[in-house]
Amino acid sequence: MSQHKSPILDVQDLSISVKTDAGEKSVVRNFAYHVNAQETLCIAGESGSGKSISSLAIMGLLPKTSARVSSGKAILDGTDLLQLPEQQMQHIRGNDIAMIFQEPMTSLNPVMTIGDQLREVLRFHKSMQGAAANKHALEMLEAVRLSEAKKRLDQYPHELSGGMRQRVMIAMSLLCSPKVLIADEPTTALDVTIQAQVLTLMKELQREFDTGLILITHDMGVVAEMADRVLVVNQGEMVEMGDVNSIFHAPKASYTQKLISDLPKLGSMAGIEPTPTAKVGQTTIPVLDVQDLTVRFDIAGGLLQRTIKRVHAVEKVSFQLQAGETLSLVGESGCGKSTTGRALLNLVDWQGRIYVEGEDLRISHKRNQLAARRKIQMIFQDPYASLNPRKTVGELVQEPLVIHKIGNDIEQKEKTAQLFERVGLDPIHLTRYPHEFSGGQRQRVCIARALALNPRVIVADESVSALDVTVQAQVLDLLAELQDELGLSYVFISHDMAVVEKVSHRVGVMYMGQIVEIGARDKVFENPQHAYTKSLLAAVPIPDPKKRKKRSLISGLEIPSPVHELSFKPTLLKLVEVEQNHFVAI
Amino acid sequence: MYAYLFRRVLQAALILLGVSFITFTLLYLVPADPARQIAGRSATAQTVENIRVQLGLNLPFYEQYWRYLTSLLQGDFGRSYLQKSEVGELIAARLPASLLLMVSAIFTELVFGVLIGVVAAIKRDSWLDKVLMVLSFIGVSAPQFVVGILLLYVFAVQLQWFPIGGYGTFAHLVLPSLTLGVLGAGWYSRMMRSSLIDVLTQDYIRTAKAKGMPSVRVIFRHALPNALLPIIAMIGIDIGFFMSGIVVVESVFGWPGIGQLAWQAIQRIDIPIIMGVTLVSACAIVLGNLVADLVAPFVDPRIKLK
Repeated sequence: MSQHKSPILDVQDLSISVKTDAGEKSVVRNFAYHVNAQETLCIAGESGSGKSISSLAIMGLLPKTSARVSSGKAILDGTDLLQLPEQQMQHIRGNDIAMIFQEPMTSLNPVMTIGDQLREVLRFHKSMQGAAANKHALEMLEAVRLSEAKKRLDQYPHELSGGMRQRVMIAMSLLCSPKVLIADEPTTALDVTIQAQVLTLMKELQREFDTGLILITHDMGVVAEMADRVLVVNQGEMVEMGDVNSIFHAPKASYTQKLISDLPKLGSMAGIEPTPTAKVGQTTIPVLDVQDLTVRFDIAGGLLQRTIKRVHAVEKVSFQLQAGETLSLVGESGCGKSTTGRALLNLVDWQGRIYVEGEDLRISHKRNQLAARRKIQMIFQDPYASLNPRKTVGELVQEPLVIHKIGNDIEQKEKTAQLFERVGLDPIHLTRYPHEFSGGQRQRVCIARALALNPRVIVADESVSALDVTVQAQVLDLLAELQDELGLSYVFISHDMAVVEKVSHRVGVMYMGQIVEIGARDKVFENPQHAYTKSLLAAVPIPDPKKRKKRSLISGLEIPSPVHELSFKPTLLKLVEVEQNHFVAI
Repeated sequence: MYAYLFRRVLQAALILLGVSFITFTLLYLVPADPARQIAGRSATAQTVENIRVQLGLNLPFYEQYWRYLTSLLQGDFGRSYLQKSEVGELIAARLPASLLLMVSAIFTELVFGVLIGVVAAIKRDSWLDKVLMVLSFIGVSAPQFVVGILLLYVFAVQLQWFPIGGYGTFAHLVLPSLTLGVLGAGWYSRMMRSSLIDVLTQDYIRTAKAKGMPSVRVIFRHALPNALLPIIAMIGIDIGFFMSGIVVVESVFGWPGIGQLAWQAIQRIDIPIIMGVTLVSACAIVLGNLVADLVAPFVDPRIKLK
C-alpha cells in the first residue's frame, strides 16, 4: 500500500477534559494523528489511555454534560468536525465517518428489525426509500457474508449471535461508503475464531470501499494482524507512533517495550516441559477427580410447564487434577467450560462424580454443606461486579471466615490482614470500599477472599480477561507464586490461548459440552490433533506483523445450539491416548 | 400461545374463586345484620327472623357460600336485598358508564404521564424537569376526593367550564377522568422519566446517534418504544387502582357507574351487590393484566409467551 494520498482525516492537537467532583480533569492531551484512504491506523493502549474518548470526540458523541473538547481540530475534507453544529454533524455521522462499537450484544436496538435499522441510515443520508433501500441493505448484508441475509432483514437482534450482530454493525457502518471508519474494540467481545473472521472481513471491505480505518484496541495481537501504522497511547498521552513493524520490532518508548514484553504470546512456552510444583512425598490421590460430569438445564413450556427441551451444557466430562497443578479448560462461548467450573462449586445441579482429595463431593455436601465448600473456591471474571460495593474490602475478605466460623473476630482480622499482604495489597486499605481500587487490585481482593479458607483447588473463571496486559501479567505472577508456596491446584478457565499456554500444566479443550482434547500443555499446543483445537489455535492473532496469516473469507461458522429435544441422546466422544499424557477424541 | 392463554384463563378462574371466598367471608363476619337492615328499625324480631330464613342467612357459613357459588356458576349473581332486582342486571346497566370513565382515565394518565416524563427526561436536571417532577409528586400524593373536589370547585363552580356532575356528554366526562387520571399521570411521568433516562444511556442509542439519526428520531423511534415497556406492564396493575378509585370519584361526581352502586350497597350491607361488584372488578383486573401481557410481545420482540 504505497499509493497513500493526502490524509482523509487529520486530527491536530486534540485535548479533552472531563468534569469530576474534584474539578476538570484532562484525559486526552494533544493527540495528533491522521489516517489515509485504505490505510489502517491502530490506536493501542490500556484502559484509561484516552483511546476511546478521543474517537467519540471526533464523532461528536461526547456526553455533553460531563466531557468537552478543550482544544484541537479534526479535519475531514477541509472541514473541522469539532466546530460543526450538531445539525450539520448529523449529516456527516454515519455518512462520511462511521463507527463500530465493542459490544455487539447491546449495540443494536432490540425492538427494531435489522432491516429497519439498516434502511433508516439510507433514508436519512441518501434519501433512499422502499425497495431501493431494501435492495442496498440486502447487498450490504451479503457483503459482510452474513448467512441467509434476506431472512435477517426481518429478524430482531436477539435472534442473532454476537458474531452475526457485529457483522450487521459493520454492514450498517459501511452503508454509505464512509471515508473513515472508526472501530472501537470491534472484536474484543467475540470468540477467537469469530474474531478472526470479522478481522479478515474488515480488511477485505476496507479495500473494497476505499476506507480509512481507525482501529482502537488493547490487543496487540489484533494490532499486529491489522495495522499499517500504530499509535501507542497511555494515560492520555501519545507515547509512540510509527510503522507497525518498527513498533513491534524496534519500539523506542519504554512503555511500548513493556507493553510488548508483557504480552502473552502463543508459542512462548514452546519446547518447555510443564512441571507441576507437587511436593515430594505427597500421595498420588488426585486433589480433584471428576468423573462423567454432566450438567443439563431444563427448558419448561407447554400447558403444564413441563420440561420440553434441555440444554446439554456439559456431557460426561472427566478429568483429574494433581496437587500443585494447573489444568486449563479452553473453548469458545457456550462450550460448557464455565458451567463445569460452576458445577465444581455446586453452583449448578450436576450429575456424575466429583471427588475432592478422595472424598465424594455429593456425599460430603449432604453431610455438611459448609465444610464441603471449603476445599474449592472460585475467582470470578469481573472484579467490578463480584465485590459487594457496600462492604469494605476487609469485610469482604473476612466474610468467608465469618460464615465458616473460623476463629474469633480478632483472629479473623489478623488473618485478613495477612491475606491482604500476601496478595500484594497494603492492610492499611482494609477499611476502604471496592470502588476505591483499580481492576487489578480488586482482582487481588478476590484472590485474597478465595484464599481465606485455605482451599486446595481454586477455580479461576476468566479471572484475568478483564484486566489490562501489564496488570494481567502481575496477577498471573501472583497466582503462580501462590501455587508454588501453597501447593494450590487451579482449574483455569479461559478463552485466551496465549494466557493458557503461559499458565497451564495441562490443557483440556472443550467443544459442545465435551472435552475433545486433553493433555500436557506442550503436547496440546505443539502437536494439536483434533480439528477444533487446530482451528482454535490458528485463529489466535499473532503479535508479530511479520507472521501475518493469510486467511480466507469464510462466512459465519457458528457453534451449533446445545438445546435439544428430550429424546436426544448425545453422541459421546471417546478419548484415545495418542501419545503419553495426550488424549484426543475420535 | 393457546397453551399460554388456556393456562392464564385457568389461573384467572382460581383467582376469582379466591376473591369470592375472601369477600364472602369478610361480609359474613361483618358485625351488622342484613336482615335487620332490610326489615327496618320498627320491625319485630319475628319479621327479622322470617327475612333471615327467607334469604338463607340462618344457614351455616359453608352452606351459604356453597349456595352462592353454585348459582354464580350458573351466571346468577343473586338478587339485591333492597333494590328488588337482579344484581346481574344492575351491574350490566351501570358497567358501560364505568368502563367509559376508566378508558378515558387511562387515556388521560398515559397522555399526561408519557408527555411529562419524556419532557422531563430530555430536559433532565433543568428547572423545567424540577417543576414537572414536583407537580407529579403532588399528583401522586393528593387523595382523589381532594383532587375531585378541588377540580369541581375551580372548573365547575368558579369558572363554570364543566358541569358539576352527572353523565351524558363529553363535558361531563372531563373532570372525573382528570381526577382519576391525575394519580396515574404522576406515577407514569416519574416512571417514564427514569426509564427513558436509563434507555438513553444504552449502547444502541449511541449507535443510533453514530448513524447520524436526528435527535427527534433517536428519542421517539429508538428510545421511546424501549422505555415504554415498564409502563405497559403498569397499566394492567392500574386497573385495580381504578376500581378502588371509581368508588370515590363516581360518588363525588354523581357518575352512575358500578362504583356508585357499590358505595350505596356498602352503606346498606346489600351483600349480593357488594359481591357482584367485587367479582366484576376482580375480572377487570385479571383481564387488564392479561391484555398487558399479551400486548408486551408486540412492543418487545424478545418477550415470548410461554
